[in-house]
Amino acid sequence: MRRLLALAAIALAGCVSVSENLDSLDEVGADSVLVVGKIEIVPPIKPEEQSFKALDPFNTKRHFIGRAVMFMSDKPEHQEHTGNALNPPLQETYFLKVPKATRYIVKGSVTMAFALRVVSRRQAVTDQTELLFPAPLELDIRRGDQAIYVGTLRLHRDEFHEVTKAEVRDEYAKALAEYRAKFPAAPVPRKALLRR
Amino acid sequence: MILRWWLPVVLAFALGGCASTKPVDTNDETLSLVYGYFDMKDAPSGLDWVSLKQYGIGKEAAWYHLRAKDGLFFHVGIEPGSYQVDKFGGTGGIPLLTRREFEYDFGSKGRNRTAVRIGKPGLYFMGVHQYVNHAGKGLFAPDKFDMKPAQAPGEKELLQRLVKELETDKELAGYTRQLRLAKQRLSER
Repeated sequence: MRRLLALAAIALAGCVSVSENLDSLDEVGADSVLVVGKIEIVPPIKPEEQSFKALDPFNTKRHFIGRAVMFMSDKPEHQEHTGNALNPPLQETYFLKVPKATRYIVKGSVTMAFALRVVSRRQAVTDQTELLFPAPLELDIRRGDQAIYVGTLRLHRDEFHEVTKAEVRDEYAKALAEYRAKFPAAPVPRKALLRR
Repeated sequence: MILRWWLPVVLAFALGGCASTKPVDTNDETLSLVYGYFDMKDAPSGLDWVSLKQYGIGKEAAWYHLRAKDGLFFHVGIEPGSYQVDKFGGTGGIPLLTRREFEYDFGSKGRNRTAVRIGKPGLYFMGVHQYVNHAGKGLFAPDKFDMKPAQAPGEKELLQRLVKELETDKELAGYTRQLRLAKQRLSER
């Protein structure tokens, strides 16, 4: 049983490269770009609305609570998972490293509920409720880019966790102020709003 | 959607009938009667229970467990709110050989086709849906399916069955308001 749970936890962690907020531009190589943006859920998701029930030795929970997961690909075709994921916090400006070759967000979501249930000595099942983003979305990444600003993706939701309206808002000035405070000597990001 | 099988714990849902942890108050006029139908002919099991999930912005989710019989499921005591079918299940397989419990997920990525908003107390129909097994997956991968809207049986036929259940099931004898609502809707069909 313990072995099964451990394997399930590894499966949860997955074989995915996850990009979280950067603290230094040194982490962005020539084949990557720093992406600045924001995801707003309207109304905001309260902590009690999200649940995560599973044995979690790798603290996978931190990727879900108060965060989105966005899978990136070089093709604009839906995939449940890819090898690259962005893991931005919700409701605040994010600073993420993105490989230049993966310009498409092919699946984006906020996990509202996750539960791993052991149903027998050999089998565990997962229950996952997600708020799905419209997809695919495209990042306008260009060859010479070091940093781009992609805007605020504002997603209006209903009580069924269905996105009822999506808009990309240009809040460049505010994001630039945060960017300058975080990376004082860095070149300013090029404005390149998300597009569908 | 993915079919899952589970230990017989879910049997408790069916045995519990339409009752949750405590019996529904027969005099509570804020409650609604909710019903629907799943055609499980193409499924590896019958339908014994349906789980109805309550949604609400800023709220923790809550669930009702509904009794099911020959595809018809219903509950006489649903509080106002937003709901959709979350999971459902039943027993399938060959008795004494492969008999086991099956559990199905109706779809939990946003709104699904059973979603209803219950404002005023009354009668709410979640529709008729057919379990459609995806062909070509083979004997060893029977776990992909869709729930498609279906036309038969019609709402009138289901209301007739519902009225009969309410009239004949001793446990439901006190729910006269719900019975009246069902009869009224039937007379309008």
